Amino acid sequence: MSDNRTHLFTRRQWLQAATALSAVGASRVLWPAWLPRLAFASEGVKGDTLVCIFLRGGADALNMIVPFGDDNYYKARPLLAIGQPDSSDGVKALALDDFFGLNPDMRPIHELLMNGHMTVIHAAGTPNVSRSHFEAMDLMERGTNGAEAGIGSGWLGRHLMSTSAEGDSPLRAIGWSDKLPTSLRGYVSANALRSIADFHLHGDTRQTDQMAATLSAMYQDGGAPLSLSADATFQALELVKQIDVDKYRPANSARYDDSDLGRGLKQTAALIKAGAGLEVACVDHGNYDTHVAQGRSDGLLSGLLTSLSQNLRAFHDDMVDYMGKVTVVVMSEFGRRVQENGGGGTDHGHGGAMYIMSPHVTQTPVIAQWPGLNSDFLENGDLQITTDYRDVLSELLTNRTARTDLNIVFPGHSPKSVGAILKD
Amino acid sequence: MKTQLSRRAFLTTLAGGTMVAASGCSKVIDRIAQPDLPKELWLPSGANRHPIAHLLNRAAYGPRPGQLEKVQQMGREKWIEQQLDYQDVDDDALDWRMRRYDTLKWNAEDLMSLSGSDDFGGGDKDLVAYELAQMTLVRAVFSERQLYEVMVGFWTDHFSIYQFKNDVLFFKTVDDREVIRPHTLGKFRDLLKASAHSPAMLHYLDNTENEKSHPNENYAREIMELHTLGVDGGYTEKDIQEVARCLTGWGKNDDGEFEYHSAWHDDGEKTVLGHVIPAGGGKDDGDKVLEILVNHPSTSKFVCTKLVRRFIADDPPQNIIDACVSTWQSTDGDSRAVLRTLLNHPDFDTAPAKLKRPFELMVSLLRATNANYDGNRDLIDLLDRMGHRPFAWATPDGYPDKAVGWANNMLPRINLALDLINDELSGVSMDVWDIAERMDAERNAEKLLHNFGRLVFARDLTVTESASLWNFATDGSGQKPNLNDDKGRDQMLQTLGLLLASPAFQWR
Repeated sequence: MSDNRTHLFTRRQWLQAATALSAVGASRVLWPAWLPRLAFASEGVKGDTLVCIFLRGGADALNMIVPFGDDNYYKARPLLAIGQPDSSDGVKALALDDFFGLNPDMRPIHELLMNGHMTVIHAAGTPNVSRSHFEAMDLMERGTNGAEAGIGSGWLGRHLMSTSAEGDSPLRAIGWSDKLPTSLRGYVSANALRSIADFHLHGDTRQTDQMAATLSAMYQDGGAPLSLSADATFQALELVKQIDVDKYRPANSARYDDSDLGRGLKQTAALIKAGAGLEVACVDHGNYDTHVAQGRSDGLLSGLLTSLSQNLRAFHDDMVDYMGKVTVVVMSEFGRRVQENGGGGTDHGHGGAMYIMSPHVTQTPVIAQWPGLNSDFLENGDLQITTDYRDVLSELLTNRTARTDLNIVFPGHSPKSVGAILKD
Repeated sequence: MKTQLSRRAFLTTLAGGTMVAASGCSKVIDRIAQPDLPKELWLPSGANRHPIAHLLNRAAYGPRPGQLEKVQQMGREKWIEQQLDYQDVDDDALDWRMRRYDTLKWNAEDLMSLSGSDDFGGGDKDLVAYELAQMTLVRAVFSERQLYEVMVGFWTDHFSIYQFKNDVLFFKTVDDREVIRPHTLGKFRDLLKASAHSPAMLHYLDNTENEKSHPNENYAREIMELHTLGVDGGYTEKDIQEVARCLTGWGKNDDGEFEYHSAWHDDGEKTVLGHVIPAGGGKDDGDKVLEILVNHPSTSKFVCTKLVRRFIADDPPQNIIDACVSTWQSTDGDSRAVLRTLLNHPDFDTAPAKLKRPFELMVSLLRATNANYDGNRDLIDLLDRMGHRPFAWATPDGYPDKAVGWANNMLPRINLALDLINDELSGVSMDVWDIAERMDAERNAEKLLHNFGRLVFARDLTVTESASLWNFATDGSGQKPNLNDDKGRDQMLQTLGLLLASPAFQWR
């Protein structure tokens, strides 16, 4: 399953290579068939492109980043626990340090975690204690813990607003889904695309260009903020038309699967390589709501984790020449109850884990102020949260994007340092 | 397209019981229930939108063909009065369309007996959630009680309840029927009280978990921040704790009805916003809190500001807010009286543009084109993709009511009109050529464009609109499309689609 064809550099080697590459990048000799020539590509994105993956349904962080050094984990999960790395268990964790191990279905990213290309922040999440999926997701995507009601926009929407400038790409922000992710709300140029191919004007397809031109002329006088938003839409339509994603071939034999995640990441890679000016891409994965039949190596979770880690690895391999300016963050609305339930699954919990992929992460595979799984330390049976998700995202925005105003992105929150991702 | 039998006669026949199985003839009902168009449509002209069209874009979900002239004849004040006395407005045709939805009349116990799906949809729970949303859309499009439906929408946002939190959807159907709709054009006090006794609200905001030993302050906070005083309304964290104590034990029973659990109640003395609530009050503590909140001056200011934002402008003008607050105070918070002040305010006609939210865009589009909609789920899914499915805003603050919350992801808004005109909206049908005939424009392409523009925008097309659209219609050649052949007719159909997708239609 693991694909070793791509050589993994150390972080230092990587950064040297990346610097060298950015010099040659401009003088590409062969122009691939799928790649458009874009008028504004020379401007470039000033900070990293952010790829935000949301694991929908409440991913079971305890069985993904396994606290094998905590006895209470094994007491709470007699059926579901993943074995210790040196045990004789057929399903055992891959050691990340002397306390945490990786679920074996996530093997494709083990190397990334061990070599400073990825890191995990455990016992992270929102201080809000809602155990409703949608409420928890909504609050997290809006970047509020509930105390600041009335914020109709999302944290990424506000980040994009606070950093927008003249000449920005019409494709700064994309949600790879039917509907615009809540996190992108509030930014006028954000678009929801099921796929690049689906992003087109309806009506008479023989006259698409004339229709777009007619609408575009009328929207010039459309009134703010509509005129801006429409202008971005028409530019995006024009741009997307030039990208032939069917002809896109990932680098280094990277293989994405046919899930929403795989398709979203592949198209994200294509847009980044096309120099389309993409700054934020949001992709969803899964239904992680594993109340029953969660399983160990054969249940519902196993398939999801395999797909997640294969696609993350594929993106990394495909983007290896570009990762110096790309940051991937993975999160979920909450973790799951420590104690397994009677149905071979786990119920809604609280503390979870966040994952960051970038050559700029710390060399520590797992960052955790571990609160412990002893019942004295649990919060109503759940893993406590020791890192606010907004601290992680604040650090990421501060260190990896051009300029952001955290007072706007996370109003009322005073971010603490996490030490997960560095400036250089 | 002309009906043989008059609509009224047909509905009377139906009501008489000659046709029993409503579901078996729902297509017939849709057709007969569709409003008749006048033989000749009135087409306002001039550079500015006709003021009645403005009224119908704010106090209704947009004008239908023929509606403008009716309201004009009646006079705007009289129309407003008629709309405020909504129960006297005949809505028989709508009632027939409603019959296809089974769950709307069920009580909570029966609704709860439905099962068979998880939080992520499917099965009977989906049925309940969809039917309420479908009903809401159908009413907005077809009800003659337009101001009432607009205000139902306003209060639904104000007392926003998210259908998909746990089992809230079972109770939301009851909440819509027994809390929001009966009190929509009544006294705010009655609405607030009904809401505070609503199992949907108490469940959604966790007051069902609020007991003396484990207080839950969620509802206590939101009832002040969102329902009455507003975030700057002058309450403290201590007030939230005290209100939560007063509301301990307010919850629901196993049948999904309101129940006060006295064993959960904190019976000590409390102080709320300076008012001492003596020990031993039991359930009355909560009732007293509601009275304190209703009478607090911040409440009238907060709610009137939101109303003026809804009807007038994203940045509501202070003079109109003041006028509404004054009426509120002299009428003990009577929604009818406040609306009368608001809609008849001298500055109403010159209110700045408001961006249509996706629901308003869809409804006004169906109304403007006299489209028929069979009440299916697909349009609800489409609204969901546009971010505006009814009852699906997760947090209790309700859908945003400012342009900036909606002015992105434009493509679906544009494609909506193109899909409608190309007969690509599931379960929706319309007949442009019938409208063309009633505008005396079925043979002249140029006249069709300009008359359709006047019908839909209640003004002449602007120079930009007219030049851009005519350029498209003629393919840049100046050659008039021939309405006697299919090609010419299709070209004009696409042109009218672009007109409906244009920016002017995106604003109310």
